[in-house]
Amino acid sequence: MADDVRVHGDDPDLTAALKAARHGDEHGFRTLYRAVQPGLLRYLRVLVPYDADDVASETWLQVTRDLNRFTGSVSDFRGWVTTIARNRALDMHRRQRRRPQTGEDYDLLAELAGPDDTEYDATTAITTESALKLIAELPRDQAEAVLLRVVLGLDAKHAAEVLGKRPGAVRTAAYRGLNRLAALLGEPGRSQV
Amino acid sequence: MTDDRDPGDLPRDLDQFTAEQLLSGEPVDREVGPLADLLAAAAATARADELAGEAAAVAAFRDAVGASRPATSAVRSTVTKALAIKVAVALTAVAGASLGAAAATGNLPGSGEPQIAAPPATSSRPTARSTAMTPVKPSESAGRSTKPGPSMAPTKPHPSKRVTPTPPPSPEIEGLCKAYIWARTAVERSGADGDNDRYSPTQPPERQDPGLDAERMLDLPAYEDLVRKAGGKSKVAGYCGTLLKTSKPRAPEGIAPSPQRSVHPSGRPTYGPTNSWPAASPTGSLTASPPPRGR
Repeated sequence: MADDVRVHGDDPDLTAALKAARHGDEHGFRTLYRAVQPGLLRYLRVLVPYDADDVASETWLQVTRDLNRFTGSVSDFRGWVTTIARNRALDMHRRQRRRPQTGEDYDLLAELAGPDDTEYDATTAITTESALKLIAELPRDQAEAVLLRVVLGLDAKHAAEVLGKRPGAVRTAAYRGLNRLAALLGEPGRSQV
Repeated sequence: MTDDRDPGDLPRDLDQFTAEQLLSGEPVDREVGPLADLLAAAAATARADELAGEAAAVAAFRDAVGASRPATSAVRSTVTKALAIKVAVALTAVAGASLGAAAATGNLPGSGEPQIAAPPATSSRPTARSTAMTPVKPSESAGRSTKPGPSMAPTKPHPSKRVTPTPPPSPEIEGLCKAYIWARTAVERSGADGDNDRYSPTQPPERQDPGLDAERMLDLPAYEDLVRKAGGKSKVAGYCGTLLKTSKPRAPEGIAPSPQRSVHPSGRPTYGPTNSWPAASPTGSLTASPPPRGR
């Protein structure tokens, strides 16, 4: 399924780019970056809305240093990069918790997806931004599962590795997330067609 | 799962097959309404602002690739050239004055300039220099807690390489040595130079035997003492090289930093934090097939 928009699977071009980048080829690295960074940033914007750019930069820094020792497929690469980013995001989140907060990680998602700015209008084209905001309304495990699968293009196995869960659990979370999204889309409060 | 909604309405409960299609980005067989659009929008093509960090990332990649390669002789020769130019410039500046007289008194103009280093013509240099060059690999020695160390072992300075000359150096001898070594280096590096005529007016400057002027300097009365201490004219270069390196730590700075100046041990990349990296990848792995984790 070599869809031009979708990010799933091991694209042959990306496989070649990965191989080249591992041997120090700049063009190869650039290709990888362009393929992975947008999804990574979108995922991070849900996890750490205010630090997504910083975390992404740090992640790529780490990737550049360790890439020559990476072995695996493009899917593995996506999973690896995402894991680095997630760890950094959670680490940053933990550090920021020192300031008084109400507690749960979920607050962050709620913070991003306040009731006012999640207005979804199905009559207009869905923007990436509004889509992410809606996804951010999901419980965290569901939001992450959906994002890893859909936005970062990971399969269930790699998504499970990133999250440190069993693939079955991640699958379930993703399904629930989709159903919940469908429900949100159908809510009366959100102006339907 | 139950579906208590009207059949024609948006699907509240997707079947697993459809859900998997949506999650995998595959074309969906059944009508799922705006959900498919929503997911497509979330995974839409990159916007320009999302790739704003590309230049920085590529630069970091370039640094990392460069740092993972051993210091090459090309780098070394560049450093050597830069030094040679410095020395040549210094000599040119000095040339206006009477070099011999000034040297004899140890009052060479510019003799206190820290950046003027002993030229690379003296002995016991290679090991010291290679030690000085190798630490320029910031990224690999950075304190990462997670990944296995690369094969490239950080090099350490070898203080034992130093040979301490027995006689305590005097300022006069130092001055003579500097003048002598500058002269040698100038001839070797800059080739034909008007300054060379000072000691060998009869020879065409461009065909001079390298070091000839310097050797003639040793014939000057002022150099008798130095030649004697070195144990002969042929040994002056080595003697002076050692002397200048050990007697004044700042003199040879450009080439062979003293051990305590070594930048290496905590060598840290200049382009980013390294220590905050949280216990690497508890789940992810560098290798293609991580060991199955309890599933």
